[in-house]
Amino acid sequence: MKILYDNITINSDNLKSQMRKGILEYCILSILERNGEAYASSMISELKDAEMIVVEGTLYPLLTRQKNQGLLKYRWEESKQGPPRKYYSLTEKGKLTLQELDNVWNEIVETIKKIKTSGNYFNNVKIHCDKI
Amino acid sequence: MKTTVQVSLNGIAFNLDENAYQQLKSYISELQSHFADDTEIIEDIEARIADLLSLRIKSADHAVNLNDIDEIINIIGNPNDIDDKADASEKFKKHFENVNNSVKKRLYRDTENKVVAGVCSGIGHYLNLDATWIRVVFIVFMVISIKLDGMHFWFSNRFIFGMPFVLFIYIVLWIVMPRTKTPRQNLEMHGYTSARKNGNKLRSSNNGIGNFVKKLFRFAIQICVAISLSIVGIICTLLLITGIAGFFGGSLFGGTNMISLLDYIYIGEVNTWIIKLAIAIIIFIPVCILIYLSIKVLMRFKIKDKPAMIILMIVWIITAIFIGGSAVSTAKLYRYNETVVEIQKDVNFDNIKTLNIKIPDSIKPYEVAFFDWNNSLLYENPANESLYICPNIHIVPVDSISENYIKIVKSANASTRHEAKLKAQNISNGYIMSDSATIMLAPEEFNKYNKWSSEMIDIFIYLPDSILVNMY
Repeated sequence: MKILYDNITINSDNLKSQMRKGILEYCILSILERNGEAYASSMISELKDAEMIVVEGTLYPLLTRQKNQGLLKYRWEESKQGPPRKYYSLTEKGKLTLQELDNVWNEIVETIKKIKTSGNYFNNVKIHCDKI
Repeated sequence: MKTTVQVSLNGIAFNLDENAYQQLKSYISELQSHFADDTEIIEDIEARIADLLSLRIKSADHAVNLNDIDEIINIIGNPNDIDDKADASEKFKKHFENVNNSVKKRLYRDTENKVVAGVCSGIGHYLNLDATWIRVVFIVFMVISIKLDGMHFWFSNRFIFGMPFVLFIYIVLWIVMPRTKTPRQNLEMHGYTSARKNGNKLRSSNNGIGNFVKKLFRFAIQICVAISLSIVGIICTLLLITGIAGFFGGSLFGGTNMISLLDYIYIGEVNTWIIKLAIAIIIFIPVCILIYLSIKVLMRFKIKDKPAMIILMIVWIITAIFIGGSAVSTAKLYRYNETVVEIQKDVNFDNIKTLNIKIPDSIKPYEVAFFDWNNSLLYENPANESLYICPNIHIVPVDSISENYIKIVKSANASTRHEAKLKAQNISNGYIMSDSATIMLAPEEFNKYNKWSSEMIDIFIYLPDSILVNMY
């Protein structure tokens, strides 16, 4: 029985982390759209401030993946102190994907809002009934 | 004094002390093994480490210590925190797309789902069978190969280098089958179908003979599985039934059980129930562990059972030592055996044609055959269930009437010679001459607390061969 239980928790963990990861990817694209260009460290500090990531390492596999998917590109830029840095920016495909993601996001938000408020509606009816 | 190591991260040189260096090295190699095919991620993370280190270091000749590295690892995170399963499975899938459906199945050990070395689960992947069944086959045939060899453990040709044939095969496979190291090998082990759950046909199913052989082999293994399972089932059931019934029940086996037999063991001052408990522990701990392990292998669950196992083993060993010690101390109490010989000359067989030797009517032969103590026949009084030892009767034919006599040999064990001799002398003669033609045997009651004294009576009757002997 315990095994079964473990499986279920693993699956729900999986779901949660996938969801978070999806949102995190959305955030990365959004940051890049707003700033035009950004290097990894600045993205990290922004995401950390927003409490989107806990450990910094999370960002790197995602950046590489998005780059491999053709959503991002980067260029090297010399910095005054230290070695050159990678500056990331959106590709055309990345911009289109972001628009698509915006639509999906708004849809989800709308749906959730609708479900929550219709829930309120029923609650109100119930309160009303109680008063009668 | 500490040595420092100079390393270069993203083109910046750092001085690390020995501990810090080791820690960083193991962290990066962990990352490398995790992101096996992505050097870019490692480079990016190294660059970030360099950034973070630069912030921490005040001057160029300041050495980085273990604390710094630990803090940085905390900030960046362990490979498992960074890249969890969802991501890994995606990588895995991507890998599949890359290899373009042409993966040929190969035999690898699956060390991620191992019990011993992953041989069985590797074979399971190869044959598309659940590894549990392969394990069952291995264990059952191992037991059978040991059982067949029985006593000839070290000499039989079914044993190679002193181990069962099946165990030998397992070790050979262990050596021969490689472990999966790269994702590619992992892929080859699972083959094409297991990753795509939609159930695409095995690609190799198109190539004729090889596949037929494989199918045949699979079928053979499935039959072995069926046979093995039934054998395991039967053995487990029998083991439990006979074990428990034999120990506590007893009515199944002619009124005798282990517990009542153990009553006859008397060890010094120790109460017999301690011995009973000890023997129960000695028998049932291994049986229970065996049954538990086989269920564990069958059901493939993982429980932290090491501490429990170790405790059980310690208990078992202590019990074994206790039993051994008790046996030795008991043996000491009955070390010496002394014999006393008495000769009865005043018998007169002159006028008789037959000599009757009689056992009292009240007792019957004890029917539990294996309970044959010191070659004496045991008798039982059905009325009160007490046991009796009958003297051994030896008839020695002689020529002349004048040589008639009865010799009684009595022996007993004790801790000293003197005591043994006294004990032997105190034993009764074991018979009564009720008249000149009848010897009435008088069996001694078998005192279970005196078992190890092994008091014995041998009656030698020197009798002319003209006289008939009638025993009843």
